[in-house]
Amino acid sequence: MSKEIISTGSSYGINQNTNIVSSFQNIKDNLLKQTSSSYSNLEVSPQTAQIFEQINDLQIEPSLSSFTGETFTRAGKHSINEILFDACANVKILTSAVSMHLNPKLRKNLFDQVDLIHDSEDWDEDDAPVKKLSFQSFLRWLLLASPERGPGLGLTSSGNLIAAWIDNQDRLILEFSPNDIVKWIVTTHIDDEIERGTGRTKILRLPTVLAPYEVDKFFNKKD
Amino acid sequence: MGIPNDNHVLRHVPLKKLFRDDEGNIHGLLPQAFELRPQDNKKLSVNWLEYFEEATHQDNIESTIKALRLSRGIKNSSNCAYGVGNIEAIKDTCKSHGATKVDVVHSGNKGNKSHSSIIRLPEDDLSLMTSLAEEIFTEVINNKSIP
Repeated sequence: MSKEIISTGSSYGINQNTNIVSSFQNIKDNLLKQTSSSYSNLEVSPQTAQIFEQINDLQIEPSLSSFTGETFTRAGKHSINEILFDACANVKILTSAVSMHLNPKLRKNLFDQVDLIHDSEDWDEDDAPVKKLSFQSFLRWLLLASPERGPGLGLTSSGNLIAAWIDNQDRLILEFSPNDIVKWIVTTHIDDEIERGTGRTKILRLPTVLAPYEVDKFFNKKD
Repeated sequence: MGIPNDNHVLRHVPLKKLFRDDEGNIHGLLPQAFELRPQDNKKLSVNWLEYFEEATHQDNIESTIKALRLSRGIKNSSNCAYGVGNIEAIKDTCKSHGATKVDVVHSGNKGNKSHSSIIRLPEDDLSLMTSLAEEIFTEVINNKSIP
């Protein structure tokens, strides 16, 4: 069986100050435990495993709102503003755990967009703010794929984060659910015909699933 | 009451369901703008443009948005937008995805007289939602552009 190499590439530096107590094998085992058995042929670089471990280890304490990550019930005494502020703060804290692996400009852009999609002036009280576990899936994918061009962010009513790219008329949309599950939509135009693919997979499988659509064009910086 | 095929409906879309690039430019609607929520009771809310019987398409859009703002408390400064789609195109697209019984009906009430619903829309059909977003509701009006 062929081995699929998943690597974050050499551009990621290892944080020398991080206290890594697990051996690489232990980290790899932990990572593989979280994926389905169908991914047992994956190999990861030590850097990738380290980043995944950092994201996995991060725990966020419940704060003002009753938003705990996967459920959203509006607490009577807290305003929508407070709940949205907390949700944004939670994912920014999550991001801070791996901020050393992110381009500062990209990180600022993501934070600005997270605030924008939680604008209280444009908020339906029945909708949920971003789920921590959805954002965690996004972060894991972001660090694996390392796109040069950041996405436009969106949000579903249930709090799943959406990442979108456009290249001329062609579009790529990824919707991140908890536990590394991602819905993907690709639209390409070939000879005035629209070719579209949609599906659902795990983030580690995404490069393989999207390969026929040549999606690198969405991630490359434009001159 | 069914809405005539050559008429149009408008859907309110919050900023978080707009297709934007990383620089904030709007390129249309995300498919998730057509996702049914449990509280939607399997009916997608829209507003019937021609209900207002204005002289032009643009005037109908403005009247519909102004009425919608009043009924839903949407501020002029809100970053939301509105997508407009033709009734026949909506039904044809749904049919091409196997949803042959989809219809668009007027369901107006006192507070929102042009309110209408797209009914019998399949749930979780990502391909259909994408077609609606990228091929049918392609006329997108920024809320701030309407006085």
